Amino acid sequence: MLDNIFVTIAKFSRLTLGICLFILSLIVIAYASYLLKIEVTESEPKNNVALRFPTATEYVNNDPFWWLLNGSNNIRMINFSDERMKGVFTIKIYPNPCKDNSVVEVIHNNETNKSIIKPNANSITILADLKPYQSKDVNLRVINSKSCFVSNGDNRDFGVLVSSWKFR
Amino acid sequence: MKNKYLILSILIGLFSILYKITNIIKIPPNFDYYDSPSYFNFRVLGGVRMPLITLIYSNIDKYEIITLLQAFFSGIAWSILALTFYVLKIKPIVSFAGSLVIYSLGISTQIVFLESYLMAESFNISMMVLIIALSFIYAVRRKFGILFCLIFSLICFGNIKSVNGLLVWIPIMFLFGFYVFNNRNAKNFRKAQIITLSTSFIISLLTLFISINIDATPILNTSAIINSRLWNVEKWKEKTIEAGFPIESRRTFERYSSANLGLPPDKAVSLQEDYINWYENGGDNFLVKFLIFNPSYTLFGPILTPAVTLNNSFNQSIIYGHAAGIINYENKQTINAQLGLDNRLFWPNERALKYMFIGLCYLLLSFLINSKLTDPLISKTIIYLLTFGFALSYISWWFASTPNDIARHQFPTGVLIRVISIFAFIIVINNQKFSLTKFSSR
Repeated sequence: MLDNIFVTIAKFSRLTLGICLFILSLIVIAYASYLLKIEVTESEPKNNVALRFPTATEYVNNDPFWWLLNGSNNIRMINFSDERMKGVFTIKIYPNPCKDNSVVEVIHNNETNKSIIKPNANSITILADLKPYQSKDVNLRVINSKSCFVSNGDNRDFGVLVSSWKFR
Repeated sequence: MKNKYLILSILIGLFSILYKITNIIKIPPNFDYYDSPSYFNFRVLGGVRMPLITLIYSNIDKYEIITLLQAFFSGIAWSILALTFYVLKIKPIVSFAGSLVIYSLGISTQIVFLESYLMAESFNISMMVLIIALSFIYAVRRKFGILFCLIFSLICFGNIKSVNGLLVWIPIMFLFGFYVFNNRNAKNFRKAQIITLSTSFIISLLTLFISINIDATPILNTSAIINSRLWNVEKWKEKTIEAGFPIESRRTFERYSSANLGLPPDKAVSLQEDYINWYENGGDNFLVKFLIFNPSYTLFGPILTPAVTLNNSFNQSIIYGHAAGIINYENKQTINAQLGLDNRLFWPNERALKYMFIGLCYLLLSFLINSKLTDPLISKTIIYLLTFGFALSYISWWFASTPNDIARHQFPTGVLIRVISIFAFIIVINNQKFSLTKFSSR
């Protein structure tokens, strides 16, 4: 009697588990194919992609900013997630304290794009295609006609100011 | 012929143990300032961690020796698992191939990484690997000594993590069902089996009692699950508010999530006075009541999260946990995650491929447990291991797995599914080879 009950339970559990696993596997495989095909991401790009600047982060009223120096500045794009992230970085740039009309060259993927920095806010864009966990360097070359030093003892040759960035 | 392959597999096993030990000597033990201290505080009842793991940690005390022991035990467990193929009725060359695949998983970065951590994870995985090996061995070789080792391993496994302790009676009940009542050929053996299994069932109930009394931060987990999961779905959010969850706690969570204010958001909420008052006046049972009165969430939430939450993503489901592995960007930068084999076959780098791999594992297993390709006792063993694995996953999801730590909580079942899939694949290959040989000899 007890033997039969256990045989029935075993058969039932085997069948149920098999069917559930089969349906689940089809759903998961279809979902993975969908993710691969249309290149959507599960994770929020804004939470998983970042820019790292070669200079220290400074703050005014809790708002961060970065000074890029005259010459070559290596900026690192980082993808923290296990998903491929494709999008555009938009970097907001202001001129240096000397109000020079700087030229910023973005050197990325063997291409160079030039932007002339105007007295008010400027935006430069960088196309990014980052594989899972990948970091890529972009070179931002600031070309000023003359050096820009301030008189408070800071010996940096100021290029341009980066006030914010976003990724979409 | 068999001996030649077996000796080769044993030698590779010895090499893998040596490899793990030399790796662990190279790197410093990884002490987690939030979790590790509680492992050094031994208490049988009412502690923060299960007693077996705290007994080991508090007695050894020296970090380097603990990690060395973890690596050594891991090496032994994976070697026993790799050699299990030779016990099953599988051709020696196929067994050898199977053992190589198991070794490659055992020395993969995901496994080696855990050996350097001063947390229960490594012993937990090793003990589970041992249970899988002994279960398969017992399915084909009904020796009392093997049953004893299997039961002993299950009881130890139950006393490493509280979630294991809650569920360790399940495999013991399965052993009762499959090997005692449901096997007419083992009459001489029944008496000894019944005594062993009855005793172990009583011990597993004691383990269950210890697990229920573990004080492993339920106040923190309740806040984390409410804020990270329930608050994102309107009807769950309403039910949470109806249950009296203080709105101010949610604001605290949002404030601490938006910037680094020195505390993790869940911790900040758990220290808030109105949240503590709510928790102490019935909030401690909130998750259990929520599970009882929301059966669709309880049953389908863990696996079909997109259908239940309507957020079109599996990343909060146990499926993601099974697929993901434990190494993320943050710990990928540490020296501890640079050791071992990368093994992209079992641990792909890209999320879509991770889902694809785990989906294929489910598919393979669904076919195997209902096919006649394998011995009925082997397929029953696969069923009981899978049931146990999914039960562990479900319990972890219900009470602890927030998006931040879902990969860590679901990792043991992720490893279990990979290991069983390797066994399933090798069994299918073995049978296929056999039928091809028959075909060509006609």
